[in-house]
Amino acid sequence: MAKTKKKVKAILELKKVSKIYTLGQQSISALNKLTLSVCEGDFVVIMGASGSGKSTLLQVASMLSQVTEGEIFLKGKNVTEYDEVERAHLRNKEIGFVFQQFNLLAKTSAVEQVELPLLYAKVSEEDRKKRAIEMLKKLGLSDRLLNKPGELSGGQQQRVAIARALVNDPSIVFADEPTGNLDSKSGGEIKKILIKLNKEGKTIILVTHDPDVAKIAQRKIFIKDGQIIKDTRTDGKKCY
Amino acid sequence: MLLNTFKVATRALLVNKGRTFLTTLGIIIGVFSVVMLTGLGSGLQAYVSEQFESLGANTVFVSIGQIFDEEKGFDTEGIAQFSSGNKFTLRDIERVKRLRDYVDEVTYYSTGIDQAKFLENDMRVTVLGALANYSEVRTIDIASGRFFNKNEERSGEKVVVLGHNVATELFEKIDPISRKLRIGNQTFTVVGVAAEVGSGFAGPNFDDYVYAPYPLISKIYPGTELTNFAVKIKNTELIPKAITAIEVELEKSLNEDDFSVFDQSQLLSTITNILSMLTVALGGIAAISLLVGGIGIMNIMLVSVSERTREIGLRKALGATPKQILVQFLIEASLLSILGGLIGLALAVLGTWAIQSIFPAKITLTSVLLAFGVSTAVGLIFGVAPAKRAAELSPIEALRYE
Repeated sequence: MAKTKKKVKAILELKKVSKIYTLGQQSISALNKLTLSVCEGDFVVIMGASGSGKSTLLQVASMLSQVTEGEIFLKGKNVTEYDEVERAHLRNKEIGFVFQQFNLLAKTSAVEQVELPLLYAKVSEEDRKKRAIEMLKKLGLSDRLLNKPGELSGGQQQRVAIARALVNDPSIVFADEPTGNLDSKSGGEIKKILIKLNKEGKTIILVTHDPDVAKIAQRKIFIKDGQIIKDTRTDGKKCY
Repeated sequence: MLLNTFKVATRALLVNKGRTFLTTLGIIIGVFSVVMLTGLGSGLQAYVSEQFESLGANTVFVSIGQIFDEEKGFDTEGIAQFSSGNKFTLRDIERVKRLRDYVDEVTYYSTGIDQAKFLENDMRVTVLGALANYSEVRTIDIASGRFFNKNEERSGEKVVVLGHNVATELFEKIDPISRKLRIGNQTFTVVGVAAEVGSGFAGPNFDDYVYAPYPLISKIYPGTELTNFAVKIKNTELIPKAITAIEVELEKSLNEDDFSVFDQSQLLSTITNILSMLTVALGGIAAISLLVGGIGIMNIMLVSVSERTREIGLRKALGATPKQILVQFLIEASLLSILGGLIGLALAVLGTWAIQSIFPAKITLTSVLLAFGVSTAVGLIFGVAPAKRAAELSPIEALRYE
């Protein structure tokens, strides 16, 4: 029996998006009229060789950099022409980041790391602390609240980073090789956390080289030369 | 939000305490030297003015020798003419006294130095032979007893008014009034003690003086001559006219180059002009170190921006706007300079206090505000370039930065 296709709202849409970098006199086209729809609650893995454009796709989709051509819609709103300040607000409110290098601030406690997005969201100090501690507890770090990055293992540092990405309740979490710097045990923990988050309804877009990591997603996108060459999904969802 | 940015900036500075301190050192030294040196200058100025004020505001001084010139100020060559042999006569003084439109009183005096003795105590004193009106012309405050009067002056009675130090050193705890003491080989009766005036910077210490009637003293010390006298003018507005009138009067018996007439405002303005120039010069030199301190801040902030490129990228990714990053780095730079300014100021206050006993340094509000304002401005101005660089960083580039 054929699977019935579930229609789900698109949370992120890229329409004929191009990104061209100019290095001196040379122009490099990192994305080439790429079109992509991500549904609410999707767990998308983006794969591709280095230089394929997957990191650029992540940067453009996460509002870190602007497109050269094409349009981007976030929750149905055209955000292509947003200026630096509007993009900063958008990143703060709608987007969570998890990086390969964790990117935690030196000599800063776990709670304060997690408070950062709330600081820029102008949440009161009391509320910030409360929410940060809650999120760290949820990620199993209740006994590591005041530790600084130097006092945490790689896996713990990445969990702090995930707590930071989630604390302002973003619509989409972008993760760039989140297990790339971790041993397989810690990497496994992080994968489990991402799966759990997705089950709770969070949209996750993950960039990786690692086919093992890719297995956890329902949707896999392969990129080459700035274009999607393959887009498969196992859950039968369809965005509108 | 500003409060939060402020907290973020403070944290960043606390993370690297050693460097923060070394960076502020430039500003500390700058503010310290500006406040301290201008404090020395203005303290000196205030002290000198005060000393002159205590001599009496509407007094005109007449002296043998061209020691004061309206254009050139005081002339040291003129002082040599003291020994030229010229002197005033009592007739000259009588004529000046008759300028009743301007002149209130004229007093003249002569001095001698001698040994004063009471019981076992003795000390060297300057004996100033004066008229009974001297205390009014030169405003001597009497602490106890009185100044000698006209009758005592005329009859040549051996009465004396003691300077503060003379009274305390010779008489210790005994009340000197009506006691007898020996000065040279004469015995005097004490009628009064002058209030303490404090030691002069340059010039005589009036606390070591004793005052006795002029006719008597000129007899006891016959070598003393009338080389200067003081004229009390009715009010200060009349002083310029009075000086001209006195000059005209004296030129009848002396050459115009043989004497000078000046009031203390002229004396004072010459000296304060020199001192304020000195203060400005000292402050200016010190301000250079403040500038160097500012450049130090800029340097460290630029290094800090490079070092923290990834942090800046991360903050931007998490939602910091360029303005928030700009403000954060500006606050860091200003905090460095304000902190340095406060420490420098505290050190200057301590330093001024420490030298107070040997030098009348005086910290003025202007120098404090100026030094503090300038150091804050230095932090802001030199913080702009690094802060702008941080604010304009692209989040992607910053996050990729190794």
